[in-house]
Amino acid sequence: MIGQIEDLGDPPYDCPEYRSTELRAPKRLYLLPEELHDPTGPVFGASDVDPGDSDLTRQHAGEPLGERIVVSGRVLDSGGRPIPNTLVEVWQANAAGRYAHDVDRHPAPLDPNFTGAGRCLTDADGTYTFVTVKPGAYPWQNHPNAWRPAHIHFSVFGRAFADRLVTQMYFPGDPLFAHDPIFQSVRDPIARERLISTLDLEATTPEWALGYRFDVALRSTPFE
Amino acid sequence: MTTPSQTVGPFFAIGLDDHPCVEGPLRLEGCVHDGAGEPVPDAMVEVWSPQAGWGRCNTDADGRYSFSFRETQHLDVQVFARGLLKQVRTRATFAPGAAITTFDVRLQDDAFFVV
Repeated sequence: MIGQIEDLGDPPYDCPEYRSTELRAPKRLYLLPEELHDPTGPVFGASDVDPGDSDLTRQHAGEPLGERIVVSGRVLDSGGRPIPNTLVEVWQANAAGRYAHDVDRHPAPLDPNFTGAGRCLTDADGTYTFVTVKPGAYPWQNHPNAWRPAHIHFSVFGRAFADRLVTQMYFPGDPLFAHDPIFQSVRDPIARERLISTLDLEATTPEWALGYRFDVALRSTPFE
Repeated sequence: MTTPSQTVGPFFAIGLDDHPCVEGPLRLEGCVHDGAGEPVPDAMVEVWSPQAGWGRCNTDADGRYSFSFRETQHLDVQVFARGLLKQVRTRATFAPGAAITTFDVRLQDDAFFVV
């Protein structure tokens, strides 16, 4: 048995400032035995997604309120090579900071034109693109006056099931960064920067939507 | 330099739907428990093996999940939840001939592999 491992800039499981870890963070961690290493993982294809799934602003009769944005980037392996045809799933609050989920009790308005969920496959270059609206910050019960910085949740697969990553993408310059125990759970400030998208004028659609770029680097080892 | 993990949070169900394995006669089922022994009703359980494929099941109000799948010797299991800043990883193995295998996940009592 080994103790806390903070590998690759990942957060530790134990994080007292994030209260939900108290009863959920695992206490007994072991290195994976060599014979259990499995380089395989799920393979996705066009039937797993609908092209419309990547535009979160066109899933209802009307357009959602909020600041329209294009979020794009590449899914890469640890050698910086693109991972094509892999599934990227996103979910987020609406522009008012409210999730379309029964458990969310934040008294901000739901938007009848926004569910806040999307998915797509990366292309041959490892690139994904979503059109959505910028999510709002919202309060949570973690500590007095706790507010989450605006973020989009990402779920990403690599080549192997062991490479599976769920993370959150943040927006540059958010004044809530210093006060958010989930963002701050990544102890290494350089690693934390990798959670923050960059404003990308190249991805911006003039007169239509601001572009943000967010590359996701997985621990997948490159193909030989 | 890899992208750090962040918790799946409490609202993932709006975006991460359940997904069946390659269907078959075997069944894996169980309950996810927290350190107080309480069921975890907002966990996401994913399984994988080359034979059984990939499956995803969000736990119900009683913390329960289940998968039906094709013959395989084991399933790699990953569990995500609010309060887990990264997933936990374990492996379920099956006795020969066992149609139904119970595999509870006790987040603070069970041993997991480092992710």
